[in-house]
Amino acid sequence: MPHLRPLLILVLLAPAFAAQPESNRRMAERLRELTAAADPTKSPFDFSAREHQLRATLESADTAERMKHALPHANLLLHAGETEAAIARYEEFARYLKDNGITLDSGLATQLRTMLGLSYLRLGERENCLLNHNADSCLFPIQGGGIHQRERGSRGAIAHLLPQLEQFPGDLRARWLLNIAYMTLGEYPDKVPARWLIDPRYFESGYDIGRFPDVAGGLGLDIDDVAGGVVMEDFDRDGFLDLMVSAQGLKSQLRIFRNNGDGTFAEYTEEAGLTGLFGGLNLIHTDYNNDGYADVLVLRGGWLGSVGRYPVSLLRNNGDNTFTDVTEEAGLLRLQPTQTAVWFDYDNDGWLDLYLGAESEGDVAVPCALFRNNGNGTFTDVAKESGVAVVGYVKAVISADFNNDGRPDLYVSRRDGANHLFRNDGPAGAPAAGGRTAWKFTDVAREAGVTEPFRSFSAWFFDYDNDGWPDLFVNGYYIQDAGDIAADVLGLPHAAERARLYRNRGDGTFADVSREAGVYQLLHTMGCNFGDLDNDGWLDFYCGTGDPEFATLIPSRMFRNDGGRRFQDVTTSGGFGQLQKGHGIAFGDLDNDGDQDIYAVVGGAIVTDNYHNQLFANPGHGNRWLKLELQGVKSNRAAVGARVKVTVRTPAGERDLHRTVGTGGSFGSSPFRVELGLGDATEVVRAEIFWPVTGRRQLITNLEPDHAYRIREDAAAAEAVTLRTFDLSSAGEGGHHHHHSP
Amino acid sequence: MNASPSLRFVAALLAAGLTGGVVAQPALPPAAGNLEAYEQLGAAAGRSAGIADLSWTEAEFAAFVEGLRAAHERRAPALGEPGRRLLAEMQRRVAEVRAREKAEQDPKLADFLRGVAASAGLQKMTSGLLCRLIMPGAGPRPRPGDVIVANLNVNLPDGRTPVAALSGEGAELRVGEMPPGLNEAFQMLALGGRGVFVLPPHLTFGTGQWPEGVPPGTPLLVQIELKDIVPAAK
Repeated sequence: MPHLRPLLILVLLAPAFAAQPESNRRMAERLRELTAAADPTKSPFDFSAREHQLRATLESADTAERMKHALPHANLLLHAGETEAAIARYEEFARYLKDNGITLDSGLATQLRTMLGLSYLRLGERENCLLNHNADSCLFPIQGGGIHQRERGSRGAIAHLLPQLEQFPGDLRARWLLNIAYMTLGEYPDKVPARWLIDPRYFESGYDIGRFPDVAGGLGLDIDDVAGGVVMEDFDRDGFLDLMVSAQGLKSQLRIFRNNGDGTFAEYTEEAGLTGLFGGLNLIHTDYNNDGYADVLVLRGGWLGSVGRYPVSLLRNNGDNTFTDVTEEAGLLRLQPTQTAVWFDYDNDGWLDLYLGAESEGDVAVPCALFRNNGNGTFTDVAKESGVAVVGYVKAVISADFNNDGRPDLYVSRRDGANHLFRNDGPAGAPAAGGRTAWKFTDVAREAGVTEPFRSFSAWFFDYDNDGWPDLFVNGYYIQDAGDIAADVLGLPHAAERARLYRNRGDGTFADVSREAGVYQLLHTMGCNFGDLDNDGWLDFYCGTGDPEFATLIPSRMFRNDGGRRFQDVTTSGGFGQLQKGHGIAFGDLDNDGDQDIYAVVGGAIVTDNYHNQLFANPGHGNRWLKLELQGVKSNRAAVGARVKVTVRTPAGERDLHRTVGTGGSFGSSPFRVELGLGDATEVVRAEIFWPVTGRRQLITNLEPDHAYRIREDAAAAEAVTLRTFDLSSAGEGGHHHHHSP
Repeated sequence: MNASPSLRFVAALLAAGLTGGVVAQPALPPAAGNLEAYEQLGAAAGRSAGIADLSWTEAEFAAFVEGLRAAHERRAPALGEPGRRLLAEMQRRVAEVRAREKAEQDPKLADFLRGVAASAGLQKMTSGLLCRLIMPGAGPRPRPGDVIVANLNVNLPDGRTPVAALSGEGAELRVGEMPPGLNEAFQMLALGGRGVFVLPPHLTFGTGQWPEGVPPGTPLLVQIELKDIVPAAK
């Protein structure tokens, strides 16, 4: 009885829909409507509609007209995911040129050969890295299981890139792609013509960190989707860190996975009430209502410009494994392209406020907002009176108390000019509307020496040298093409934006130490976060790299902090060199064995550039550790902004370690709990916690290495917490599942 | 002319040996056996050769150290063509950095360069060249010896007074034969790329002959576009 089927489906679905709060359904409906109303030919990342449009106009065209549009049409086909059709179109054009004795100028000849080479390379990627996916796939330098079984793609790429290099020996993009093509065939470096070889020693790690196996496949966490964000946090407070993962696709479902604590993860997206909540290039978590359960802010519309007018979603964690979309009732509903926000208690009232970045460009002019938390579930935008209503292409907003005056400050990274460091000057002037005094911020970026890079993206504050003063890392984000990467590796001139590491001098200014610290490099970073790979007490960082261009095949990069002096590239030794596009990154100890694992969202902006996310399991390094879960009482409950100084005894004497509670870098959200590596410590002497709201310095002395504790702001001692453990690296041995988002 | 880095290296070793006073003052404890002394010697040699200004990558540094080790073990290969070219490049780069440092001692010039970099969002290269790409190119890049076809628009520091002698459309120029700042600027561009550059005087005509109408020592504002590349014969 076929007519009964729809009814049956409705009955089956009823419990799921019944569990979903009305506001979630409203948000889902709003997102659906916005997507439906969007003109698909205007999206910078979706090429299908434009391809169909052009194909239709070419149907009745004569050969000359068809050939006039051959290159743009083939480009559209490639980006629409029709790789073989694109190759056929490029080749048809090449034959036509040959048959008619037509010679292209340097630019067009380059475009034809390079796009053909790239299309073949992409064919190889799709046939091997995706369809035959394994933990080595697309890991640079490609070896082992990453070597392509089906060779036609990379062979085709080499056949077109070599003639390009013969004509233009200085084409560094072609040279870079050629070396990658040989890698995928297992023929690098031996078979790469010597003239074009990039010496493999350039990719050797400065330190052997040990391989971090990608275990996402065996755990069902290797979500195959486009660019997105991640939150790693203990959403259900069972002692195990869980994962929430987004993707920016307008039909990409936000997903949540419970860590079962036994080496398995279970998705409960529907049970959590998240069905229909799409999109989200980035996620940042908080506890805005001080109930002890982590809430999440979903950031949408990033990079989409005038077609990116989407709402954010504030998802309140109800503490019962469900989330309620409270965006509207919280007063946060406004439409703008954004992918960055930071939660901080700027006015030290014990409630986490929100600074929301926006991407203004062309006909989009939306000021960044400073949403003061009113303490009753609602927020008020006070950006203008506080002096932080920046209108610009804002790509990262982060907070730290850089001058240690007890008031959290704000850094704003822009893609379109000098960055801002807003010093929090506290309450100023007469009370504003509502009877509350406005707080003032002053841009001191120039005096502090932290305006660069002028085309920047992700950023973070961290105390990389453990001196108690937050330092600043800002990523450059501008290249001409992948040739800049080769130029950077080979020490040739290029104008791409390099990263900056600013060391806090402790006097309100920063020193640019990028060069001496070994990070004045072209990192081209989007997603990023930091943590401690080897529990040596020095903070390391991971950069998810790339851009929407298919040709920008560059490895994500991991850097190990060598004693607070410099950073060593450990990309190759750790197995972190994902060639596909790297987005949201979170560090956290998923299996409670004392060391931090890393979740990385992988996949590009273009809708056909999906790829599998990764989970790098930490193999362990034998160092000591300490976990501290801080609980604010007068301060915000999650203790965001609280400063921790742990003093340990080591064979070489006493040593101080400094951390600040927060979610880490601007793109990706790490857990609130402080996971400290203690190196070779034999004893924890004391922990001092500075609580900004009260200005109180809490002294805790009952701590032991390799243990976890909960510390309440008003307690005299830490409470030991027993965490069950499991082995993440063996949990992931079950092979690779394929999870393509609906 | 500056001493080549290899000569500087030898000179530094000799200088350290002769001025250390170890031989002259036998009453002091011997430095041999004190590893800190070797580290100091290495540092002195590196500083003297301007190693920090060469922007070597870890791999390049490791290869250099490997060469030192080979010499120590009497198995060092002879200095071949690539090594000689590197030496020349190092020499040029160190000379540029020294010239930059000297130029930056002129407070008026240093202020101007700092101001223009901040207001126009320019990046500063190790050589002192300031740059900002305004249109990315793609693919081929010029190499030393290549002929390029380019548009150049050169102005005095006021940004409004053109320097006709240095400006032109479709100019054919050989990389390596232009003023150092332009050689560097063009090599940063890929085909079709356009950028704005500020060339401090040490990267243009330095103490040499300046074009007519351009006061010696003037920084130049340059906008260039790379239209085509004719690679040098193999």
